[in-house]
Amino acid sequence: MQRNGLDIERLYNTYAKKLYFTSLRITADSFDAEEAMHDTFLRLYRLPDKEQIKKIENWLTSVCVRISIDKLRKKKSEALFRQEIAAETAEEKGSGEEITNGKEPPQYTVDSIKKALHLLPDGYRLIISLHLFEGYDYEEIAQITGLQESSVRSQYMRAKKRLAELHNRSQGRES
Amino acid sequence: MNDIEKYIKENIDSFNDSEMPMGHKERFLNKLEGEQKSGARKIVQIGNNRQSGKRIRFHKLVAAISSMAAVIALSLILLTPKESETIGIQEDNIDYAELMHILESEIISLSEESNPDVAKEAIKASKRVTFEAVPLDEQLPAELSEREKARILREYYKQKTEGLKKIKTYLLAEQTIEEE
Repeated sequence: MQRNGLDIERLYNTYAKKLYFTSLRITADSFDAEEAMHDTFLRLYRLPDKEQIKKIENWLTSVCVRISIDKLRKKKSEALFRQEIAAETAEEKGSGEEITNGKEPPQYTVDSIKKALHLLPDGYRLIISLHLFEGYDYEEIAQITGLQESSVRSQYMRAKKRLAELHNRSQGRES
Repeated sequence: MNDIEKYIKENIDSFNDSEMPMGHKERFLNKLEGEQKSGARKIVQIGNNRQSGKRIRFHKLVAAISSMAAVIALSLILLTPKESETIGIQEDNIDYAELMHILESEIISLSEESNPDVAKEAIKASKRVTFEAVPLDEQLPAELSEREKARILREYYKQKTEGLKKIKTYLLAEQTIEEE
């Protein structure tokens, strides 16, 4: 289906997968991720001046990320990151649990990391997705999330640590 | 960089390489067909408003727009029921919430062709205009009628779209100046 010179179906065939998994990492919901991906292409379809877009993949990814974040916000009854901050406070008070018990180093696979990502709190997963998977810098993430840049940095460090803990914990359970 | 970061960066393509939900493309093509049939152009075409030579003070402009949107939303909420009934529900058929998203998308695409500093400011400004920690419709009192809620939301998003149009105009003006 052509519109203003852009073949939407061809673009869908090329970029749908990337957009879907980008959105899935943010929303952690297959239905929402598919909707966000579809909405992205529909927005492109409705755009009056498509010839303005030079880097179509970047445009599609930016729009998909924004739609996904909106979906995530709407689902949460409270602001993003409030849960994460509460969780950090609880961790700092100390559960005393040892996650790495000195055994062999963790074995990473795509599936094992995906499972751990899915278990992360939404705010942590969002920051990991944007920085590590989509290449957004801390300033850009700060603009998107409304956090200070210094908070984004510290949230990212905590998110990475938490991801590793969840991954190692799930491996420990399975072995 | 720790091990997990390193692993992700080295295998990033594999994270996008799994199966998608069955029937996803058919569902999309149905939506696209629906879009074509409804002739979904409820949105007014946005023309290219080219104003050459006039620089807008960006940070002040955006602060003014954001404040304006908040004040208007608040004043609309505080209107007495009798006053609100006199206002017509459909001043126009424009879906301002959707228009806001389209303008945001256009700003993103215009930014790609702009000077990086200008682009950064434009994107930052558009985020400030569109950012909602909690969507307005979730903040409106439950006691308001649906009609009143629709009117408040329309006015609120209309103000935001006016702000985004100014940002778009600024980007177009900057591109014109660079071309000269």
